[in-house]
Amino acid sequence: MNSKKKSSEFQVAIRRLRKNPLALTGVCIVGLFFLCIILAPVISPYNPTKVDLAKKLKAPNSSNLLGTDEFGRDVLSRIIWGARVSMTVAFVTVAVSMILGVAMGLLSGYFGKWLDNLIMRLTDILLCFPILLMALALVAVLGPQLMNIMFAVAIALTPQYARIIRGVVLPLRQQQYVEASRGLGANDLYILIKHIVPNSIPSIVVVATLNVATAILIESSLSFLGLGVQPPTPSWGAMIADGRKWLLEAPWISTFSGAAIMIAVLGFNLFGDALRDVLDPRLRGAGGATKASDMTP
Amino acid sequence: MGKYITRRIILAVFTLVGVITCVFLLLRTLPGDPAQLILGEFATPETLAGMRKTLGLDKPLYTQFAIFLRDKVLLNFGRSIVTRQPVINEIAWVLPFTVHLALAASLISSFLGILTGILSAKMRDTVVDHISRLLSLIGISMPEFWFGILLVQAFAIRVNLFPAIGGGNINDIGDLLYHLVLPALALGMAMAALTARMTRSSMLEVLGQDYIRTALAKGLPESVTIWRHALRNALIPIITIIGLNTGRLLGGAVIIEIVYARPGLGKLLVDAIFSRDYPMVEGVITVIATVFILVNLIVDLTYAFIDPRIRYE
Repeated sequence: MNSKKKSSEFQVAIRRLRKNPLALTGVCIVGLFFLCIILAPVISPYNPTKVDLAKKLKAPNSSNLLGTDEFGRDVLSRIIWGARVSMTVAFVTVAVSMILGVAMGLLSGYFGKWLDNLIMRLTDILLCFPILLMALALVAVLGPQLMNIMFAVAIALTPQYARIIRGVVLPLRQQQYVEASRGLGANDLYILIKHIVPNSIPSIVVVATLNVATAILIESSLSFLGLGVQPPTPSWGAMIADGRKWLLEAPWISTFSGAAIMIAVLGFNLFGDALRDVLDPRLRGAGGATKASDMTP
Repeated sequence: MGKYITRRIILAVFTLVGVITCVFLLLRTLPGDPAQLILGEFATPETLAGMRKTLGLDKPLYTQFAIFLRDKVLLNFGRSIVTRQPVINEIAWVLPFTVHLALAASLISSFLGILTGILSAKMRDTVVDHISRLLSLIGISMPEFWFGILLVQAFAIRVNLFPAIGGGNINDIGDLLYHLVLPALALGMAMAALTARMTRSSMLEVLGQDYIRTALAKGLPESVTIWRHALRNALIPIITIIGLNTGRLLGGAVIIEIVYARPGLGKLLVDAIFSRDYPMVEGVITVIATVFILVNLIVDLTYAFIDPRIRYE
């Protein structure tokens, strides 16, 4: 009975998503970038790090669809491989910040009192640092290695999660089924795992999708500043920074790399907004107004 | 009212102490020796010991923290390792450039954002609404630094209208404004998108209220209803987002200042990071976080003036 109800809810969600053209656009964009990540070695026309000075700064043409950079490397191939770096950073950081932030939000919202106060004051303090600035400071201290970048972005995203999940847990804690479960002798851990977490999942999924967009933007900003993944590994932000030196001769380098970032972020924002509309009436009405994608850094 | 203001100020002071503690912990307890980071890997043990003494790292952690806190309260951020000048002087010199950029971007984003948001809400589900929502979404998804580069391409390289780099002469308002146009647009447009989305949702909620229907039913013109009744009530969430935008604004300013090679806190910070000038990094981060706390305090206090319900809570 329960699984039947769940599957019908799922089907309703899918039906609603399919009716929403913006959601479909988002799904297509996200799908396209997933394909790039998985099939990069197959679909990439050239080796993204192979230097060919004979072809340097070539405008888009039939053999290099998006042109070449100052080392004669194919811009399209570098964008496709750059997707791997951006998405890896984005997914790992979102996963780590989700675990940390959800744990903080659950503890804060469910147990309340001094623990809530402590965690919320801590998030208040962390939220005083603009996300990009916090990531920048952490990478500056730790060094621009991939692991450090992912750690820095994850820490920067955690407080937002904690805040939002707390907001979702607060009303759930007062639900009758939670009180009934407690009345029947269930302990806190059981209630959290059995009732609170499953009911928070829609919000967690929505916030995670939108945070992928935020993480892509932060990673590309760090790379642009030279604090991201180091060359010759292709990265969208670093490509824009490299292209800046050739704005007059080869504007396509930075234009196409930036367009890749924008399209990827737009895809996740569209998808996240649509998911929110379908899955999470709480976020849709949160504060009456805020759209979850308004959380970008 | 007095109680509300006092409570907010005390909370802001606590947050500020928390922020200073975070900066201290970030730079002192993370793996790696700050003296080693400053002097590089080839430093001799003697020079390392000397640097540790200069930085006060030979003292116990709690003493270091007490000194750190006292110094920050007295606005003593130490000297830059690179220029040997007091950090606070360097910050004070570039601060006006960042403030100009932030204010100009805020003005652009508030004006465009609120106007677009109101239009979008008023013309809900029409072509205008769809286009403005799509543009807002694109604006939110666009990295500011890329948009900044596009503006340079269009208005500094193709059409030589505005300068591509620099902050202008601080004593010449005309020159400052001339250098401010492109960076302020780059930063302001991204945030206008955010403000437009917020204004639209906020206005839609207010437009559905009974008092708006009453105002229209008693024959008030639509424009009066919207500007005098709806917008005033929709202002709280809009002001919130403008306050919260400060964080994004300061983060965005860091990058925009690099794109336009403008002097400012952002450029100072990034340069300091690359030259491992830790007192400067510490100082700039503390100043930016303090500005953020102050702006949010002002926003909180503004609520009380706009909405009497808040001050009597």
